[in-house]
Amino acid sequence: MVKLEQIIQAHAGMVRRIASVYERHPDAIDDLAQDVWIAVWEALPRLNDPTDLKPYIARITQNICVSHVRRAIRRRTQELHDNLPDPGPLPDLRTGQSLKLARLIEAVRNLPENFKCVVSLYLEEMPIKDIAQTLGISESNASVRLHRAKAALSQSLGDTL
Amino acid sequence: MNTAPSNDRLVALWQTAPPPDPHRLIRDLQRLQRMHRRLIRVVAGLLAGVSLLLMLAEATGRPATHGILSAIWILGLTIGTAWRWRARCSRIDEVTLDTVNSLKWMLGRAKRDLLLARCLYAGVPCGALTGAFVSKLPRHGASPEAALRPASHPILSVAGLSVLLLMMAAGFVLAWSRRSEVKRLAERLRSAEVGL
Repeated sequence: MVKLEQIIQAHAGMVRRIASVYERHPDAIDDLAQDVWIAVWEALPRLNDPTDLKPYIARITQNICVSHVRRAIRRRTQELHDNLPDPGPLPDLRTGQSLKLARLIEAVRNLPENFKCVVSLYLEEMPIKDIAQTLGISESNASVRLHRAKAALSQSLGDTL
Repeated sequence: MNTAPSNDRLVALWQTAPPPDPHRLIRDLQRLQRMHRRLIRVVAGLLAGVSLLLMLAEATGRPATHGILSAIWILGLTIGTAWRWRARCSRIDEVTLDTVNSLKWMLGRAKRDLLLARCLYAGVPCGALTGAFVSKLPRHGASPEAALRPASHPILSVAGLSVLLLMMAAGFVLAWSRRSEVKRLAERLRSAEVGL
């Protein structure tokens, strides 16, 4: 059986990238990623086919991200402090590739919920079939959503890329 | 749309995101795992200790419960373990289902919670009124002991009313939070299911 540490090494980037679409603040993204890994740890013994790991973890990540309603409500009621850190990347990282990446992430964040979930999986190089299975929609539905989401992304990014 | 994703410049750019530090994540998870195991061991030890003490006490014949207390305790433990196992399985189902079914599952649970909350704030006063009505009926009135102590009536009434109000307030708060959750989940489900 594959060890959790190896799985984390292989898929930590994917989990964090998907989580960054749903959360803006780095600490919140870390919390979300940690929730995902706890869920993966609990669900791992029930995984029959270890080759299926990437879509499986993507599905768990997607579900955790979509369903963190309660925590989002609780956070909204917290008091704001004056010394809150800037949620964006550091100024020296805002150059070239990083700037483009930041704009892409922001553009994906601003997409409607039904496009966001399809695009975040597509950007993780998941085929349409896996995206449809992960979200519980038909392949044609996933294709149409992806097409429209890409059009919306192109529109919002313009000549940035 | 059907091109391989890796040929897409958006995908290529997306993949350039700096990976997180997995060592820190693994350390945090290992710490959580250790804490979880320690907690499980402590709780299991405490429960086993109490069971052992109960059984020893009853075996020596000190309490005259004829093993009923131990049986109830062990039954409670079994039900608790089964409940915990079931809750864990359903939590895993929640995250391993596809998004649409997972949302349906959560929506169903939120609706059940909402119903329970409504029962709490609407059912409690109804139950209290029914109780008060029944107590006024002949042959179902106050016990002779209570009738002998009329001074205790106001205290009991105030305590009963406080508990009633407390339960209703809890029901209102729970219903408010679940109602907003049902609304949000229904919106998300609609967006995930249709969305075109």
